[in-house]
Amino acid sequence: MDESMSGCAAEKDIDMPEQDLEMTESKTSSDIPSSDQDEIVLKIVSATYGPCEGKRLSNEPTAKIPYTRDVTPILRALLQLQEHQSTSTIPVADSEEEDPHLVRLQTIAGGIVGGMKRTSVTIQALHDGWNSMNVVFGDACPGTSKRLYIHYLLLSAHNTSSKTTEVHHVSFAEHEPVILRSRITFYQEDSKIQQATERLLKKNPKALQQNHHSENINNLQQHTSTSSSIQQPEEDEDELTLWVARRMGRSQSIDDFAQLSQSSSQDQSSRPRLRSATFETVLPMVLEFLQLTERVQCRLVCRLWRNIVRDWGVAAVIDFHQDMTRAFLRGIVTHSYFSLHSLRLSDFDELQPSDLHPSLPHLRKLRVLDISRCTNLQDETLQLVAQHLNDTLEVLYMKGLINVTDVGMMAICQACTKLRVLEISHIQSMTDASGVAIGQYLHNLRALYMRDNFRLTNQSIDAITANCTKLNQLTLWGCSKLTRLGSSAIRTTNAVDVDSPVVASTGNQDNEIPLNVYNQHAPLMACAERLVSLNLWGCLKLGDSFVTALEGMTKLRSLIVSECHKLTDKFAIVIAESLPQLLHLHLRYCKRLTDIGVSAIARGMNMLYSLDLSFCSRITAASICELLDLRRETLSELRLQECRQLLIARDPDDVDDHNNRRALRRQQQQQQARQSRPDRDGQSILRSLRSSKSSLSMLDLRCCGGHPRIDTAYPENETFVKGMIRLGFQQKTPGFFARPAQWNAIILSSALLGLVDHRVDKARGG
Amino acid sequence: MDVEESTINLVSAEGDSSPVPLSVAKMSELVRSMMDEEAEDDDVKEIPLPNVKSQVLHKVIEFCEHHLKEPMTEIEKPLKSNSMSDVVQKFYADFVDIEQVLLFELILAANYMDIKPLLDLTCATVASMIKGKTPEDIRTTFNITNDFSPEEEAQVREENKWCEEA
Repeated sequence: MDESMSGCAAEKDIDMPEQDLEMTESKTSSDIPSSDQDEIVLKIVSATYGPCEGKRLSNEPTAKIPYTRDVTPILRALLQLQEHQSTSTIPVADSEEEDPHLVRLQTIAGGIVGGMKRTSVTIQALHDGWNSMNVVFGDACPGTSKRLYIHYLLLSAHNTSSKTTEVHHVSFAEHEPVILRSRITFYQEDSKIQQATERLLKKNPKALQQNHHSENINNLQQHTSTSSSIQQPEEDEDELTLWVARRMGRSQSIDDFAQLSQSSSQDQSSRPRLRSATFETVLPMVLEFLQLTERVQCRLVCRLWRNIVRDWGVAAVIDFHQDMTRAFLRGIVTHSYFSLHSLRLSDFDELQPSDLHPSLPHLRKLRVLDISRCTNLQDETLQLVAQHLNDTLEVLYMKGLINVTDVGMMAICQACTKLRVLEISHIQSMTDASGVAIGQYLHNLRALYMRDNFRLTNQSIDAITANCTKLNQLTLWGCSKLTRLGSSAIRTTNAVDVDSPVVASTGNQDNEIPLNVYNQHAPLMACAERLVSLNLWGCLKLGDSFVTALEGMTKLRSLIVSECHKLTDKFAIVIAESLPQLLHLHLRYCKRLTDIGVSAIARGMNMLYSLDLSFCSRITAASICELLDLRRETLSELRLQECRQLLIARDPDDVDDHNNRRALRRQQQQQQARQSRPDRDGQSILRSLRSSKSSLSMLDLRCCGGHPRIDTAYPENETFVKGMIRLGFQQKTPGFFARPAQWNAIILSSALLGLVDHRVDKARGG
Repeated sequence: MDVEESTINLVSAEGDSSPVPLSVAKMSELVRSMMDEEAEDDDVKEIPLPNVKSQVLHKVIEFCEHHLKEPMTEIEKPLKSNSMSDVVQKFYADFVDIEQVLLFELILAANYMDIKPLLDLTCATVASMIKGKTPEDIRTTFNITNDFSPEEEAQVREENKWCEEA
């Protein structure tokens, strides 16, 4: 609602090199057909999803390329799909034939709600049911906050055959709605006039208005502007508010009209005075078009206006940014009791309880509260939140509130039963009392993020997995006391046959199982069928037998079991069969894994997009090449850091700097092979990549054989490096090879599969 | 689409009937829903709009007819300029260059008939009359009497301070 307050979607104009601009201009002229209608074409130049910790408002992707995922094709596909569905006049296939990078936005009247010409696009799939972007893109960098960076062009063609190009660089936080906007554009080609006009406009807005009446710059009349909010999701409070305002206005308007007309006919000589009811109807709708300061200013006009502003509020969304002071926060919250629905204060270090507490009882619509790392907050804040916001609160982030204990947690769990998203990582004093309460009360949770809540045991997780039936994202990172996942109680008997052969779920959801009958195929977790993303990084005590808990997870796309040291090939073999639909699999530090397990994964998971086998030191080139061959159509990211058995290049030093006995023995073992073919595995990998059109776009070979130190690159003159460069890869970070995403129809359809399903489910449900 | 489009009569508060093409009339969600209720009746129908005076209804129809030919650009929130000609195409800027009473009647009519683009245009126009003005200017513009006591006004100023400092 309030642009000035929304720091996260901060947009930055970036000078584009002229060369690029020329290129895109020439492209557009041929791409845009002559048409009677104005047309806007959106071109996604690039889109990446990656970490942003500590760089909250930066629009530049961080230098840590290894953890940034190129998601350009899926974003393009999502837009194509969305436009195709909403207008049903633009077949996807046609657009793809001309240029898959372009999305034509339907601007013809009737194509869009209300027949408005559109100047912004919301990507629906990214704002569907509180999904994090992780669900859509997969989590390329577990554990850090991420952003989606989009570079796009907006090309407008108009019936006067003039055209404009806008360059945009924007970024969005992982839970933020993604809205691509246009800036003010001018309907003529001459960029000099345009610049001059912009300058004029900046200096003196009225000058332009006056000039309108003179003929000499009539060219300037027709420029269009942009919209900052369109097609908000149905649930959006802004729209609701507006809708309610309009409905209320409608019921009043009969009286209003009679009165308004009378007064105007009576007072023809003097100026008519508008009735207060008129302002009560009109002003709330007008406020939407004003800036924050202007809304606040309206309070000074008269009592009526002051009351109207009080009753409608001045801001719907508040985002903490660097320049925000505590006084400002107090003021804006105090004047937004009836409008505020999102309060995001993550990392507001100076925030004191006294800034927030007086307002909490008055906030009527608060749905999203982010107080992550506001470390001065304590249990009392949570108790007030529980007491006053329980009716509305749906999303609560409180990562790293180190002073919070079970007292505050219990209060939240018992009261805020509408919560859909809960992030409680690093609340270290929290015990099973809170954990059990989450399972006991928060049955509406869609996403639960817990990291380093060390004290939680099986008891908590059992309660959560047995009762939170709607979860689609679950993170239990570092639950080091956890020895099993899921409760066998759900199977109506206590007997668990952990060694029984795992059969992929038959989809048997017959609920009328007679009591005490053991149903071997019933899932162990109540949310099994809904889970999309499961992160068990560092749950070190989980053994192979926990695999039974993964049964029935037919929608699971991302599984992270990194640092689950006990897992062996047996686990890999079973999931290769039971989770063939997985897109993302992380097995970092699973050091017991061998070629047998990797080979099973290569054969079983035919949609696999990213695989992390870093530090799995037993793996050899045999299984890696099999993987690259069998999964050439989908596998795009492969991480093999510290897989020392892979001989990629000639080791320049040949002796590792950690000169211990083990390293020596290993070197001796490898000595012969090195002498004959010191880079034989590099050659095999190259052969695999070359022989078939591989979709691989990211290969992490840091500290593999022949790459002793993480900070030095593989030498340019290495046969392997030359071969990779010929295939389009670059070694941007030492030991790390990347090229643009090589997406094909298979990857795209598997990536979109879950999303389309989701939408269908939702439509059915609604 | 060359087939002659059927029309519908919109009847104003005064009882004047204006024949309007269906596509134009259906820009009003109110008309659209009223027609859906009485579906399967091909005869020329009349939609009574007892809250809308003839003068206002003619403006509404003018807007809708033009909107089908040249859709209005969506209006940015918040407004970046206090001149509507910087925000929308010339036709629309001229369209709302009207007497204040008529403007407010248009808002209420757009609200009643549920025509989002017209409601946005007219509300934004009122916003443009407020934008960048002092409270005194605003009172003059809308002929509002300042009913604050000096103490009250001082208090509101005090309450507004947080925003001025930012």
